Amino acid sequence: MTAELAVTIVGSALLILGAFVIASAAIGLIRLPDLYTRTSAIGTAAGLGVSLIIVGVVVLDFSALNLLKGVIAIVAQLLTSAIGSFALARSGYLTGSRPVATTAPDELADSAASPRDRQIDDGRALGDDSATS
Amino acid sequence: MTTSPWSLPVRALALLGWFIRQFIVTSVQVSALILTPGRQPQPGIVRVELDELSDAELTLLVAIITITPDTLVIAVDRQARTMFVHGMFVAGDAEAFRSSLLDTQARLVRGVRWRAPASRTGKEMP
Repeated sequence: MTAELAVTIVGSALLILGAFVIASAAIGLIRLPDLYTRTSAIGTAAGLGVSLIIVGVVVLDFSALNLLKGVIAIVAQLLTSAIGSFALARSGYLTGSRPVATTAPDELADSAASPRDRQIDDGRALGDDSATS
Repeated sequence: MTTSPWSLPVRALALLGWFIRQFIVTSVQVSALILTPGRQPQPGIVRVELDELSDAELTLLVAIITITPDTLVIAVDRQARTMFVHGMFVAGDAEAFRSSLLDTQARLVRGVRWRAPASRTGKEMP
């Protein structure tokens, strides 16, 4: 009986904590200054927030199978979220979304003139974006 | 000097444990930054020269760096073995940020290769 109560408390606390992390990421989306810091904020929701909720659900309804499912879900979530963030940041940079002016140093902008960066641009020079700054 | 292949499971677990800790710590840091009124991030983008990594290792490195919420890979140049990483808490100290990323790379290499360089701290500064 008391063990059941403890499981309910711990599981629910994890769910609430996860929801709290996601809510704070939503605030970050509004509050942070540019695409890259906002993408970082989303990283907390997609990573820690979702993971906490999955762990909470596994705690509440524990079985070996659910544990396995939970581990797979977290690993898949983290990997896809990482690739998604990377694709978002990269396409954002290539389409001219500039980092906020307080970004220091910005070695990507500094390197834009370098011919070595042919691999980074997909038919469009990185220098195009920084020409105005 | 390289590590013994037999120690790979231990090294992989060490990498996993370090990553989970790092992931939680940086998530809390980013959330705390967002929830502190008036505080703004001090971002920066640095260029990192990578060691010779296989495609799988490079993918894993990009994933690990991007999952930890304070850091974000913006561009990778495989030919030049260079990547550009955005950090949320750089605060102008590019060198410290760069060496923390190189440390991540060294930990990854030790955690996935049968025979990895045996250097303990992984501080392979140029």
